[in-house]
Amino acid sequence: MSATALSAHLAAPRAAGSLLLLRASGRAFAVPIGCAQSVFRIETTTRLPGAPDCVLGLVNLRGQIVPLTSLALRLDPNDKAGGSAPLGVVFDWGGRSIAAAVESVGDVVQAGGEDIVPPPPTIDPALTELVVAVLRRGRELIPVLDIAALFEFPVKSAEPATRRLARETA
Amino acid sequence: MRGLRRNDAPAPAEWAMEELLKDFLAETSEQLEAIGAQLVRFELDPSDTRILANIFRVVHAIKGTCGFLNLPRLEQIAHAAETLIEALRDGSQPTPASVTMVLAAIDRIKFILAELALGNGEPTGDDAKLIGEIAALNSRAARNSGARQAMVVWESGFTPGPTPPERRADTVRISLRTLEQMTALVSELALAQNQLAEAARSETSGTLRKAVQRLAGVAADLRLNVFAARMQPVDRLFVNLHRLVRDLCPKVGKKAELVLEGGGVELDRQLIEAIRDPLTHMIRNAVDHGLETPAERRQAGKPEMGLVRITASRVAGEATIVVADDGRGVDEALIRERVVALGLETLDSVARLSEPELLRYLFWPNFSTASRVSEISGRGVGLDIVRSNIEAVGGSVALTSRRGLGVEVTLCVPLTLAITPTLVLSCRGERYLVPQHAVDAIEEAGGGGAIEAMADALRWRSGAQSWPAARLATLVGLSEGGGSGAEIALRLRVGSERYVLLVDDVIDVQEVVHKDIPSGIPRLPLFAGAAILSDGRVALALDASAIGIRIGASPAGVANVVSDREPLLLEAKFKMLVFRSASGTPRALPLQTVASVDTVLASEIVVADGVSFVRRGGRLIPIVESTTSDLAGSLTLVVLSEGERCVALPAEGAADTIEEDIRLEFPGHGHGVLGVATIAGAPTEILDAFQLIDLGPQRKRQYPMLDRRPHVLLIEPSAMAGEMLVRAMRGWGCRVAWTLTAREGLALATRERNIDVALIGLDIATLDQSDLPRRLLAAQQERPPATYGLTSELGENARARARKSGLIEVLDRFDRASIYAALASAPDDVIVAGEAA
Repeated sequence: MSATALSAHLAAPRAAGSLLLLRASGRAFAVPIGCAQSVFRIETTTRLPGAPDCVLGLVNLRGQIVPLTSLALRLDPNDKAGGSAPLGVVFDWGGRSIAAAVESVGDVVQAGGEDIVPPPPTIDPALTELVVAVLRRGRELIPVLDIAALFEFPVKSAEPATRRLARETA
Repeated sequence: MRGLRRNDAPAPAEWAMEELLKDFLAETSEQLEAIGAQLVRFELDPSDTRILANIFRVVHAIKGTCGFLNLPRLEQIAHAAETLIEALRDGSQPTPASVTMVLAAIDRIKFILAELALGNGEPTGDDAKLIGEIAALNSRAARNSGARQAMVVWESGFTPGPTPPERRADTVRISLRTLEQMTALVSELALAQNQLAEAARSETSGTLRKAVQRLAGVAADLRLNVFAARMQPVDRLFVNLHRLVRDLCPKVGKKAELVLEGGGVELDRQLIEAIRDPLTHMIRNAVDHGLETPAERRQAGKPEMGLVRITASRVAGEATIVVADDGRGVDEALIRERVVALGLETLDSVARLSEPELLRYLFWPNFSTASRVSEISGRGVGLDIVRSNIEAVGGSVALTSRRGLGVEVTLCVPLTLAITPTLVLSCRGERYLVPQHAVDAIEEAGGGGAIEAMADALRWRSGAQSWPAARLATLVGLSEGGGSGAEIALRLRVGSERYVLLVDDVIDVQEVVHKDIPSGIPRLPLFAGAAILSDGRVALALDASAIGIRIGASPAGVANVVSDREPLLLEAKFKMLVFRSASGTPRALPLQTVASVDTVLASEIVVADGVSFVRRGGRLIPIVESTTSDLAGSLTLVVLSEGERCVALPAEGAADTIEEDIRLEFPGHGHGVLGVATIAGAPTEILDAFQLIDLGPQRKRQYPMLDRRPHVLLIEPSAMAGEMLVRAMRGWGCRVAWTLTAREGLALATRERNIDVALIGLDIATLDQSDLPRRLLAAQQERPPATYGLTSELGENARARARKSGLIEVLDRFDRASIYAALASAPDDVIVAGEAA
């Protein structure tokens, strides 16, 4: 399935139902619980040179090698504390496992039809592509993230290493 | 070495005793594993006294050794069991009670042995009740058997007596550690032998060259043998399963027969262990949830005895284990309910899911549809654990279900784990891996060689030679500081190219299992994969050939070709064998077309009539491409075969399998190349297996032209398979119209009136839901074409299912012979009209 087809498939119907609350960069977010597989404490991470900045590296999750991303850095590439979140949440991303580092994992909430509203036009422009809906919880508005879009990374400009190599040898 | 010491120098008595106990435990547990299955067989067929004699022999041997090792509790229970088995052996009729008692006694023996294995000594406990019950049975049995005892004739060499007869075994036990060491040493030997071959290349002495050649042969044979020693038959997994089903059935009120097939299929021992738990789990599922109760089965018109069938088979580089039951199948309504209850889908969206999409939810964590939690299964841990265990060793799991007919779970695992001896490097505190076979030498800066900065590149000079070089830290973009200052030079060889990689240190050589870098993150050009080290850390494996290209050791530029044409659409995924040609070009073939991947010695290749041949399995296999005359060393051959005809392609280094969308970005220009596609970032020649076989030196024309020139409609979503089939069929004189999608195919069938044969590429799993064949036939109702399905996975029921959906037959899309036969048997009354293509 292509990425766009996948996100169309995941987005709309799954905004309603059980949502897992997460915290990253001091803000609350929600994700469909069905996408989340498990939570683990981040220990050793192996860096992936050349990967996008929001990819923290690879972790060994009970014998499975899983990429770990930073939710904070994915949402805001300039986030200073983005790389230091202590917990990893493993998501099912089109049949594969991928983890996101978060500050904390909160409750699971049942969201009915009226709690879920479309993202308001005033939403942070950096988030427009990643947010499928907004969960109303009391007075708080919590963005519901689109898992499929979240792990579509912006591609870095090509091959800086070659230029560095040329510079070193020159 | 310990074994030797026992003979050479007498060790202290205590130590010897400990060693004896260890031997006893290892031997006994192996024998007990074997007789568990035999006991069940005995119950099924009490006339087979040979089996009972085997059981007796094992228990008797345990009893005998117990006295010697001072294990009174074990001795007593073994003695009681022995007496009971002896009575059965001597002709008293086995009853369910006596079989149960024998099993109970053996279970107790196993328990005590397990405690001993933990090094705790014999556990305390009272077996009086069990022994009493056995004794009661014994006295009854003694009354019943009496005179028949003398009439029993033993077929096996069993003679009763205080010492069991010594059997000359043709196997010896070696420790796993020894086996692992042998594997590592064999790899090191290959490295040393490579270096020697390199040194001998410049040598003119014929004697030395011959000796080097001979060494290469012996080393290759040795490696094959060591790897073969790691293989074990799947039977090892099967031995306990009869017992499992037998114990399970009364607990859940089911009747089940277990049928095991393909026990001879061999897998690496590590994989056997990896499959053990998932397999047990799936059998429990099948008996507990899959099969109906005898009453329900009667009602459904099925035999009371349910069937659980386990079939192991081997296809190319993979083993497949299928667990099938003839039970009620999966209740889709129940899954839908559960999916909604868990909030995974809404009522709306769940109704739109296709069957395979829905069944996939069975593999979700904590997804269980068992309405009642039983002791056996249904605790909500299940298929998700099976899936993660199997995926951890690089395998896959699939499930299909037919309502009322049963469930089929298919496990696919590689035959061996890709265990490769690998150098662990350190660079700025990070660890990286490089395959040991790619390393020619390790040198220290200041020691053997020195770094030279040329005008535009680094070089490593050692003695009179020099190689292009680069610093790993620079290549992968690690920070400049933090290095220890000392530099280690790795002289690497990839294909015919050599270069030097400068790293901070070489830490270790480890046997690691290579895994792909998980998809989902953009591809990293310099890394070939990742592996988990012995300390649990993940390390990245360097792609030695990509680094070679980056450094400039290899002809550059090839990797950056960008297609200015729209690539052909393709949805179907195929397992592909990826390897490098003798000249280093990446190539790929559908795995199904590959008969085997062999290693041969250069000396085994003979040239006759201008063609290189190698003899394998009693026949000569022509090698279709001339190879560089690398006299020393061995060669990998990818062998393709079709009936009697076969050809081999020389390959450089290891072959790999991937499952990927193959998008042909450039068409090929014949000579066996179908086109060029990007695999793992590199432009890769996609080979045409059919054409390669035709390129072999065979004279006989296998497929005569079809005089009738049938019109063929091919609906094939895979560009690669489509291209291959179209080429083959045009060669037979067919006029072929090929569409990638069913929609276009139907449109064409509605427009064109004279299609003789329709071939539809499809997935057997979704065939039942597809009305495509019927719609196609309806579109051509005046003169319906002979319609066939093309698939990559011909299952057992494929034929029946094909006929049900309106197809004449389902054919393997890479089996050219059966496709030709289908086309040749197409009806004759063709009205020739314009080209359909």
